[in-house]
Amino acid sequence: MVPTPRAAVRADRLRTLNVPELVAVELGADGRPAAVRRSAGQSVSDSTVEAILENWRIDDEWWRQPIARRYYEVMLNGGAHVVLFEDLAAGGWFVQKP
Amino acid sequence: MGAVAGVIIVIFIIRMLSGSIKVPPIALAFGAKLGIFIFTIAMVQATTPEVASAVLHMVVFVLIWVPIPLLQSIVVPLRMPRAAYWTVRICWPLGLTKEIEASAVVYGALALARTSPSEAAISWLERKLRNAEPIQGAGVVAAGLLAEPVVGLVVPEPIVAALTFFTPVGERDLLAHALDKLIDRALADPRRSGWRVQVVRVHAELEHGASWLMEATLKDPSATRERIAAPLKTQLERSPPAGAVERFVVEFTAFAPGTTELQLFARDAAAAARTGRRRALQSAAREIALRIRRPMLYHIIEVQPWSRLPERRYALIDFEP
Repeated sequence: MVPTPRAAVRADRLRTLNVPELVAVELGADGRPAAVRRSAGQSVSDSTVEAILENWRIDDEWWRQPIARRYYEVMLNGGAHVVLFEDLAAGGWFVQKP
Repeated sequence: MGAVAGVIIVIFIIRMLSGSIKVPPIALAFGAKLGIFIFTIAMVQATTPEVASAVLHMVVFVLIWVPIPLLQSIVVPLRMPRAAYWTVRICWPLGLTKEIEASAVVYGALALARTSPSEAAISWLERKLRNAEPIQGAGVVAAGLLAEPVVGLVVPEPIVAALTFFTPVGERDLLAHALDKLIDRALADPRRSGWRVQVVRVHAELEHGASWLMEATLKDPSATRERIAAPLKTQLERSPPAGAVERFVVEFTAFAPGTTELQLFARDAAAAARTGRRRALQSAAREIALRIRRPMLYHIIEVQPWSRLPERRYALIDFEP
């Protein structure tokens, strides 16, 4: 459940899920993610990447707003299973659920 | 020197009260606690013998610097919500400074939860919570602890059998015959399999828009037509419809489990239970929407489940009961 926007809502109004969250990623010697730093408000959490399960690249919607991303499905220390991606068009690293 | 320091402190306090100096609440709390601590220690040392002084030092130290363990292990288990509230407000834990009023209500509600809650205590805490602005974090927790839980009613799905007459019928014999046929039809419904009927309702639509209703609760739930129809026919004789009947409806609204052998054949028992829970969820969702006046429940729906972008696969939509 997400916080209500306090606006008039209709049954056909959709709210996005799994919105990517901006993070800081430290790359290893091989150029792959080695650590992730997330900040939520005043708290900051650092996690190391234990394993990279899969990686792929998406280049899409060239006719509209081009999307170019390199994805990594990773396991963090503590057992969290997340997807990291680097936005090659606008820059920046993001994290979201698989 | 002392006089100069005193003047500086007074000027600082005046500027702070006038708003020209902004002091974070936590710094203010820390300063106040330090001042009280120094003053109290000075008073204790000046007046009491060593052992009592050490004990008082300990008590003062705990109350001023680490009140939260005291709250959790002593005050809350006392089950006194007002005492818990005022202990937080007086001791002013540094970690709760940002939302001190709402946090005090949280501890009051936690103390309340350990006892049979009284309406007076709940109303008192709710009044205190209204002073806490903005409602976030501890305020939301406090409101949740105080709110009456919403429990949906598990309503069994009724079984209905209806008959519309070509021409309105007034004769009781015909109505009794129609009653038998409708009861047979309702008993034959697959959803009734494995269950005995406890409450049966008969509703008639009469000529000129009038209606007629009767209901019977069987002392012994039954699945035989004669035993279900008997009390209905008695009522039909005693107080028949005031006009000719255009439509006749028989409804089984409450059930009791059948015998062991019948329950073995209750193919729909699990489905009936699921349907009952679904209806309970819908009624609880309707009640929440009435109480809070804005939707707080959502469905997760598939939008583009095949999309390679995870954020486009699913979305939230308002839950419509």
